[in-house]
Amino acid sequence: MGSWSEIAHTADLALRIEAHTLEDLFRAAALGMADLAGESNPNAPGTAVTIALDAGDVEALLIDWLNELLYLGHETQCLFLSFQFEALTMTQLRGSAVGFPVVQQKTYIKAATYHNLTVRHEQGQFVTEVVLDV
Amino acid sequence: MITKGDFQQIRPNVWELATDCDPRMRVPARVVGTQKILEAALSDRSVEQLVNVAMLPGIVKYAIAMPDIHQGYGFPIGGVAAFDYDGGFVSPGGVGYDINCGVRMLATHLTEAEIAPYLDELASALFRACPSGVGEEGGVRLTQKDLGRVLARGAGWARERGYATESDLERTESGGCLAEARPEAVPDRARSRGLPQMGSLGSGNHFLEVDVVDRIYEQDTAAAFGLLLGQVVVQIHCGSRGLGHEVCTQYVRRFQSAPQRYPIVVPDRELVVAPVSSEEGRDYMAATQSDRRSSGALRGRFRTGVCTRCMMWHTTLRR
Repeated sequence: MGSWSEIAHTADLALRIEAHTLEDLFRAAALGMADLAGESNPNAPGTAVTIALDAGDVEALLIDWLNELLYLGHETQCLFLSFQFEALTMTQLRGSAVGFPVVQQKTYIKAATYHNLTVRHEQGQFVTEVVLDV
Repeated sequence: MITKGDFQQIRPNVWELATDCDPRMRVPARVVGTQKILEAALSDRSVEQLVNVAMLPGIVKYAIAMPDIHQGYGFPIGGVAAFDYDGGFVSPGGVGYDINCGVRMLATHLTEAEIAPYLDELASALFRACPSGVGEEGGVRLTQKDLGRVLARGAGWARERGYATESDLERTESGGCLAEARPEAVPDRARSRGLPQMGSLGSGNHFLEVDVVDRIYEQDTAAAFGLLLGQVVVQIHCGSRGLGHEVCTQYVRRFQSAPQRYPIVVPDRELVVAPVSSEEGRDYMAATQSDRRSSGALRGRFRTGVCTRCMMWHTTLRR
């Protein structure tokens, strides 16, 4: 399991994410972003989407992943809370996500940014910090 | 680590960080503000971000921070920079996710004393005319074809639909229809995300506020804007909404491969650049100009909502 925590940022939102595997890192980043965005009803029927992404490196893949979920969230009015990865490498993601209807939106997140972004591998863990423009 | 001692005071309220602070800086960085503002800027990553801007290729003269400087992503908030258009570079992340974000002030014919007893009703009326809130959808129902017209005609579309007047267009940059726009450069996803939000203010720091002119510092300037003491004015702050957010997202993503094609090193991937004359540079400029047309039209739509309500109130209160 990965973990995420909100870190201080003067004007926007920022997340620190830690996980032992890449899958857990991507899952924790998505869950952290969803938690900052609002609350959903997990008992309502879910909306499943498939996602296929290719990027130049793992940082770009992570930002593409978060921005894809943001876009699909706006399209479906859902927050995505459940994820399955068929394939996840440093440059490719194939998987699916299930979103649930938003019941209370806390923050309108415009985008996940590349600002000062690095995905580090430290002491057996993937660690990164992502700034979200709000 | 940059400290206050690295800055030289050029004149009152202007502080300069010379290029010898970091050999990668192409121009000096300047902060406009009091000593207190400079100290506050040094307490987070604002100045570091300003120095990053000073490193961008094609920057002209200075990277400048206005007195509202605070930490953003890429540029600091309050950051300003000019770049050579001919032979220069453009950075979608530098422009940001809220393209053409701006404030319009409307002067009314009402006074503070006239509206004071009715503030709640006025707030409700304005909220109905100009929806706001997180992800709030707009009161204007558009089709994709309509949105294409907004992107193509800008504030001219607002005038055709009765949301703006000829004099509004005269008071808007380039008549509210910027040159070099190419609506087809706006990605489909941006159109899809922007469509339901056309006509709503949004959230965050976007607002519509009713103010009173309580002090006049320059009489001639105030007269030129038609402002009087005690007059009620309305300020509208909004931008390109989901359309602009997605334009930026898509182009920052597309630009990530630019460093492989052009010999450019940037200090932060969010500030990735490409030559203005490159294919991606030209597309981005065309998309952002189209987007600016839509946000100009959006402010026109709010102006109408506010004006309609204020005219109704004016008529009622003066009876």
